[in-house]
Amino acid sequence: MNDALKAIVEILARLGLRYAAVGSIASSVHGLPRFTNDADLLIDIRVEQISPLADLARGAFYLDVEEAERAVAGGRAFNLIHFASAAKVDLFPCGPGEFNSAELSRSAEAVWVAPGGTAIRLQVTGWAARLGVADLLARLREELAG
Amino acid sequence: MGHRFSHGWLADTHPDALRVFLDLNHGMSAQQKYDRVVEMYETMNATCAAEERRLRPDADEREIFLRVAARRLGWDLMRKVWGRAPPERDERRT
Repeated sequence: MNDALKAIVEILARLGLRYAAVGSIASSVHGLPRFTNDADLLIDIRVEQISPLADLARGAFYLDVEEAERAVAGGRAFNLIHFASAAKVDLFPCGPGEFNSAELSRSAEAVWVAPGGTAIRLQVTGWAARLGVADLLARLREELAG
Repeated sequence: MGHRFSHGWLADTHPDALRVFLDLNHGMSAQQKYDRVVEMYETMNATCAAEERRLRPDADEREIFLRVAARRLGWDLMRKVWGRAPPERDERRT
């Protein structure tokens, strides 16, 4: 998994795409390390950037370009599979301006991990969607902000 | 000092042992925690590979690799990625 992540963040850096590790890796770094089956990256990417990503990933990663473009257009995650290790990395596109530069990075020197608050916010948002209570969460956030 | 949890997580751990466990984790750097995640992932892969080798002593390392991948990724995704899946998909493991 480490080799796959290093390879991906190098590709993202070459494309100038900002990213942050979220999910299990972020919760492990900010809390207690735990087992995970894959790695999740939040990524600032547009549909037209999928093709250059696929060009750089070709040979090292499996990437279904059409599915990835549909996913980014719909705000959904898409997968990269590292041929050498069979490690799966899920890339979650973030909306424009949704995260600032302090939360995402272009660093390829090390895997950049999302700040704790960002990681928790994403986890809560993901679970709210899965539980069908995204509207309630949005209302709660509005109330807290107001 | 005791730690109480309202759910089952670590409920089988003695409070003194839990305190030691949490203290050790709090003392770890981000890099050390990341390394632990990678280590757990690699250990699980190695365990799965050992089990596949036990079940199929004649299999070569490529087949073992693909079978371990199939355990994690599922057969459908694996077929997409590598264009094939190992035979005996429905073989019962004993």
